[in-house]
Amino acid sequence: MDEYQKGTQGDAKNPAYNQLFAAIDEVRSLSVTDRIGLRLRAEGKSPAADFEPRLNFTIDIELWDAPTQLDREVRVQKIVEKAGGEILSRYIGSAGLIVLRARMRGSVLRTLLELPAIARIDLTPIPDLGERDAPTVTIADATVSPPPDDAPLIGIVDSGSVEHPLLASSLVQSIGVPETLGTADIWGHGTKVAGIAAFGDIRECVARGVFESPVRIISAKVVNDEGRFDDAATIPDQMERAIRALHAQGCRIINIALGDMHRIPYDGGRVSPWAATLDTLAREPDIVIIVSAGNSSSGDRAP
Amino acid sequence: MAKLPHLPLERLDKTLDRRRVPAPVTPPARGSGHAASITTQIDSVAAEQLALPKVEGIDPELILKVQLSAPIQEDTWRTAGFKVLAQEPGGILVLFNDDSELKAFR
Repeated sequence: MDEYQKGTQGDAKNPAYNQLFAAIDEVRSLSVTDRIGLRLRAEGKSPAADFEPRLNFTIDIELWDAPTQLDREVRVQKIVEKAGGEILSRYIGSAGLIVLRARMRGSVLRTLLELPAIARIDLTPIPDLGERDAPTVTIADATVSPPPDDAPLIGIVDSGSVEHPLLASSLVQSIGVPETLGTADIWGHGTKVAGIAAFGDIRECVARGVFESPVRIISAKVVNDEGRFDDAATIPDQMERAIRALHAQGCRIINIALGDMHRIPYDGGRVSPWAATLDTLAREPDIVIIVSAGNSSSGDRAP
Repeated sequence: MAKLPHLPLERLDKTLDRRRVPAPVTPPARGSGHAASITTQIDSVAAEQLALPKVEGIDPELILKVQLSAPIQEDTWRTAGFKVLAQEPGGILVLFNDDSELKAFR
């Protein structure tokens, strides 16, 4: 800054460091409003005063990244856990993502909203699972060919699976993450996704009356029977456990087709910490994670 | 591979121009008071954040929101002592510096 402030020197066209300093329009601190997430804003909560001090809120708290893993741990302990409230789950990633699920009074939440280390506070995410009722198709004499015993295993992280007659021979295992969710697909999204993973173009299969799956499927249920994520665990924590559990069962391809209607999948900005976390999770065990990156069932982002 | 008759693959019978690397965006010309204005804003942000109650075990640091009119490479920020925490649409960056006095930047 000192050099830039000296202005143009000698034959130079611009002051020193002009490319940096001349590009800056404004510098300011982040405000409370900056820290209120999109879901809370959609609920009409924008200034801190909208949070009734005596009411309890179940929220996700995201912290800005810190220089080292120890710094990240210290921030979580000294800033959030010490503030009060019940910490339900914490995810302290190594790729810049720090998220806590907490239940706390509005008064504590207001205090946290003032702190620079807090990146965002928001309601817990709800998956955008699209239409619930699948179209009914009647098929006479369908032939189902089971996959070979050594067919690749695809992990489907979704709302679970049902024992659909067309999928029965491909679906080799179902798990719940956490286990308390069970494995049954009550909401009805995971079975549809598993069908696409197993058969690809379903219309073509219907037209031919032949359902040949070249892959085996393992279902990991992360969405509860009401179509919501687990109440207590943060999404990154739940997803990491699901991905690791599927990998432990032999899956090297994992599909996550769960959108969030309040988030734009890619808005032109820097890669999000969650995307970086998925990259890390994919790189470490050398797996492929397929994530839906644009499907939304409603609003102006719907296909 | 799935056959998708509703999505035909059509051959494009033309040669596209080679993609050219865009020229760097030149920041706007600034008056002589620009440096003083930025310094004042930074001083204000630093004073605001240093006035907050100290958290035991965490050294003073700054988290800034910067509005840009031209892009700046992440390496340039790193050289100036900043880490880019987030990039938002509209040329907005969130930056972190563990030196609350911003010695390198100043």
